[in-house]
Amino acid sequence: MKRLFVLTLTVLWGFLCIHQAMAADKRTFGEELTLTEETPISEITENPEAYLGKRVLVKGTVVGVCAKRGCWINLASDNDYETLRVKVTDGEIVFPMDIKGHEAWVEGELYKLEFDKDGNLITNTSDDPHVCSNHQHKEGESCDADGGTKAETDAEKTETSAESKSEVAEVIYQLKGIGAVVQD
Amino acid sequence: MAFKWRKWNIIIHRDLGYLCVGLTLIYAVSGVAVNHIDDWNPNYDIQRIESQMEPITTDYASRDELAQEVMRRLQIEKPYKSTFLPNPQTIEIYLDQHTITVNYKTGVVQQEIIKNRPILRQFNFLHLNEPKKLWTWVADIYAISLGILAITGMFILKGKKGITGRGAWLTGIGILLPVLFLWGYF
Repeated sequence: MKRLFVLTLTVLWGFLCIHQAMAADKRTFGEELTLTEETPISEITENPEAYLGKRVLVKGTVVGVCAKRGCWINLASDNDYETLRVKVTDGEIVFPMDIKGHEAWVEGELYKLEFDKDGNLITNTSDDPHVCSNHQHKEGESCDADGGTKAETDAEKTETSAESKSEVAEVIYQLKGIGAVVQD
Repeated sequence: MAFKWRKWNIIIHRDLGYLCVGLTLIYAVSGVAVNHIDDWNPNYDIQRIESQMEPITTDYASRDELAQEVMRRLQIEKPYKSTFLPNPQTIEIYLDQHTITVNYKTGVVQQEIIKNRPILRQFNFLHLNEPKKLWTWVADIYAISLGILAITGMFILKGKKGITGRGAWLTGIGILLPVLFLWGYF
């Protein structure tokens, strides 16, 4: 039994050593990146409607991380004073806080959130009900246990669409991240 | 010779139980920690310090020069990784697990220092399957092992204290508990 214990420990240790040696200077999260052409964040923020629902690869410094759940990051744009929030499905990707200040490449789909004057979410074009938008959650905060505001149902949308369109007070665009590479 | 299923049941339960001790403790500790995520941060201890420095009135040619001036004034000699201007009056300087936010027009300095909670950060890293890759398989095997432990555990004892006696009542309570909560909350 002692021999089995030593053997198991040796194999595991050997495996971890090989893994460490092979570890690159980049950390990967989620799915592998498939796009090669980067879209500047400034281009997206200038004309978001053109990118709505499209898959893009963006690059920027990580300037904010969801402190509790690691479910979003803010990427600095190539223009000063601008950021783009990347939201990932809770648990599928967990961003650690130590990536703040590092350069990251993120692939994902742009989506739109519309809020009324009271800050209530009225439209969410993504399939993720946990929006954790910049609007609701500033840095250091996190989505609540229910994951923040949930979008209304399709039935509710139809019922109030005409009415709610006129009540839109703020529109936010976020990237639904599916894969990321962070430079160490 | 008849197959001694109860003997093998005990062997499987015993050895699998020993193998699962380490992971069970990790998942138990992490489970309690992340259950209360609304009340505290189970992974990081975040310290925020506010201070004041002399406002910077000089215009700097680059963001790097401005960052270096801030670092000099704050007497921080560690190298920074990057910088960002969130608005025309503010610069953010990123060091390792440390962010300095300075409104250089007013001189207000906010520092955020992040420390991993020892042990808990590592336990949560495994429990929430942050490593993915091979760990997903280890976690799956562990989950299946827990199922096997639960089933074999029911058949360890015979008689009044076994699954046909006291064990049946306790197993029933254990199953009813989540059912009741689902009925009430779901």
